[in-house]
Amino acid sequence: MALRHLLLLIYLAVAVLSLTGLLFRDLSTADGLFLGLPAGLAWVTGWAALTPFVMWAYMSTEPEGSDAEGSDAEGSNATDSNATDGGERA
Amino acid sequence: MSAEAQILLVVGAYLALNLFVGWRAARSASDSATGFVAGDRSMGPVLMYFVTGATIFSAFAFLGAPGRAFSTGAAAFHILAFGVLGFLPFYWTGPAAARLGRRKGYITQAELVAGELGFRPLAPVMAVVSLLAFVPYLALQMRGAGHVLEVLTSGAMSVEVGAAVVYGVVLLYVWHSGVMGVGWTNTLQGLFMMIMAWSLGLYLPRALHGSVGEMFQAIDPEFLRLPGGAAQEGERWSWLGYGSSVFVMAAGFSFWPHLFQKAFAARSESVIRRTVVLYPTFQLFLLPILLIGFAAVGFEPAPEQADQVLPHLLLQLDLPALLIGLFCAGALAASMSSGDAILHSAASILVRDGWIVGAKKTLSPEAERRAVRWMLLPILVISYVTAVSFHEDLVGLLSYAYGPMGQLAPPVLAALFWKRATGIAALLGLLLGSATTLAWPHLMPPSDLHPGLPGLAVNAAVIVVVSLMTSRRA
Repeated sequence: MALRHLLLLIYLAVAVLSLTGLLFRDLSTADGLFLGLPAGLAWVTGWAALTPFVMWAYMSTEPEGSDAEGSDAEGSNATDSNATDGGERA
Repeated sequence: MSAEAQILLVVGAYLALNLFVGWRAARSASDSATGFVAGDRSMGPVLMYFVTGATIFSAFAFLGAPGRAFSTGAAAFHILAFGVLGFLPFYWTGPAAARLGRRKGYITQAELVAGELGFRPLAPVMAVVSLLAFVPYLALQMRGAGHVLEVLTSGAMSVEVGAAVVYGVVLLYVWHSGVMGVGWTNTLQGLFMMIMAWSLGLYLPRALHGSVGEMFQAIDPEFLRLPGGAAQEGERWSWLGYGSSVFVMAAGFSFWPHLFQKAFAARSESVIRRTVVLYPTFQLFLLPILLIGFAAVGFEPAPEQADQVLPHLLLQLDLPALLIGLFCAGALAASMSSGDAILHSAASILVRDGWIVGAKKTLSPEAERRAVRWMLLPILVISYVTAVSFHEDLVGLLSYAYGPMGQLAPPVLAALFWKRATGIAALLGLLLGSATTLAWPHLMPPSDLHPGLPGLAVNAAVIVVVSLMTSRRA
């Protein structure tokens, strides 16, 4: 697995576990205000602010040509020709 | 002129502006069904950003979220939490769907899944599951619009009349312009509600408490501690309830058909990826929305219903009627920006997935466009009846809608990324997952666990096991 995929996977796993309350529960329930917000609100806002930068970094390391039709392994089923036959077809 | 009349004048002008923008948008798409439903696959980054952002931020965000903050405290943070995660799968599913759509002519989610898995009956079943969620979701938008108008006009306009007027305008521009009408009005509505949300979110805490920090210091710390209060007054939500709710709502988020369908409208795959990357900036607009709800904690007189926190505060603060009218228009923008997309998507799903794919009927592009238009009417009427006869709070209604919607995720992922997946497995997974979600609260001991979570587990397990036991149709 490429390093960029691995790093993103780790980030997303930590994000999911944190935002569902399985990780860092002490931080998200701490007393007092952080930047004027209660800990839980500052916690989720922080994730909302950080995530675009992480995704931007991931996107900017996308290999050349990944936007070309059919060149991306994710859409591997795109080579099939078993489309339903309603309406217009490209 | 009375304050109510001035408010109605501003709202009327705002609705007229929406109608103008939505009506003119018809020029930017062809007369074909693909033009009406997928905008000829031509949406660029600006339209995609607003159409995905504003579509999701709805009456639920503008009215339900402050209401939830006001009534349950920290539990409202889960709305921001699931939003952070929810759109991320679209970074991979969106481009994959767009590529298949261009190649094979798909314009709906169910059509793609049924086509890729070579199993036609999936399309109408997915259409039914979608509609089961769409009706309460659209009803929620209508209730939101009606609520705002009723409260801010001091009852001069009832919920029923307000919802009918606002959604009459929505019907007109969606009927005339299809998805491009939705896209351009969402751009207008998205800008408008962002400005209103930040203005109100900063103004109200300052006006009522001095500052945001002072506002939070005046509130009981336990009320602000995760996982917050339960929907039942006086009880606390468990971490199980909070965590499972965040997970299920995030899992279903990008698989709502009206949102997923925008993958077929995007100009390119990089437009979709950039939209996902920028999407959390739209999410941050929920922060001031939550501040509005907390500003009302301890405020006297308290609003009769939590969902009416925002209009209630505005009326109590003796603001100029013109300003209240603008805020009212911001709330209507939130309602309309989701309602129009749902209405348009529901009609296209019924025709494309139910009639053309499911019933194997052939329609010319003109006949298909006409059929989608006519289907707008029954969907609107059924949702309207639900809106005026259902009395759950707005977030409760949304949470119910997310239950079955999350069940679309496993079949879509299987169709896009797992060559071994079969159509019968996806169908069984979807049916058993939805049945588990619906039956769970009635069959199991009372628990905070979101019923969508066991539903998702059953759904995914069935798809994997049955796919390994069966093979795709040739």
